[in-house]
Amino acid sequence: MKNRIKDLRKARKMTQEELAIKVGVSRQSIIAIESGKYNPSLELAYNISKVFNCIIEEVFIFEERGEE
Amino acid sequence: MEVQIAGMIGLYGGAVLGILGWWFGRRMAKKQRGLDELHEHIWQKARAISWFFTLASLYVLFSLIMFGIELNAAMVLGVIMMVHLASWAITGVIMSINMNMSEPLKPSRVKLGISIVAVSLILFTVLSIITDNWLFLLASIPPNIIGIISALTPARSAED
Repeated sequence: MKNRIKDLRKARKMTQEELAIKVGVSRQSIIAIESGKYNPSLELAYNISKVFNCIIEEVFIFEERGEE
Repeated sequence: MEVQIAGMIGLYGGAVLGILGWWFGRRMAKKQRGLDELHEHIWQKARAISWFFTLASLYVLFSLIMFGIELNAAMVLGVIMMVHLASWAITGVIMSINMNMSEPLKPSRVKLGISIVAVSLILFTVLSIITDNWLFLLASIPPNIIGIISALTPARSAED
């Protein structure tokens, strides 16, 4: 699963720590999600999307091949 | 039947220290929102993986008994406990470090590194028990270091 969190965050001049505080997780989680090492739960994906005023599909891009 | 005071201090003292460390660790992590779903994911996966190492150590110990080596309950339980807790902790730490790194770890290298650590731990612990010489445990340090370095060396970027 790819995502546009880094781009959206940079566009809003938001740090990883600020995003982490807004969604109530650690900065480590934001790093892991941004780099694609960890796929968040539906709830966390929804909360992240809400911070950027986007819907989930605009932030997270599902790839047909699925997880490797 | 005699009560082993030193053993009891080690067993219950270790448990108390372990619980205190776990409790303070969680308290510190909670302050930085560290007890989130990624934390749960990492430590659940580490615990699941550690059962495979425990299973391997059970097979090694059973094999030793079948080869005629006499092992007492304390030895066997000590080895199983050490392998389980060590593999749980090492796997969890490796996964946590991996999640924090910008360059991903190479899965094959992580598997090789963890295997080296597990095999050397089991082998040298069993050797020290059989020979009744704890110095064999010291011999497990170099392969363990090699295994950990191997596991924590990140893969080169995809552009290379």
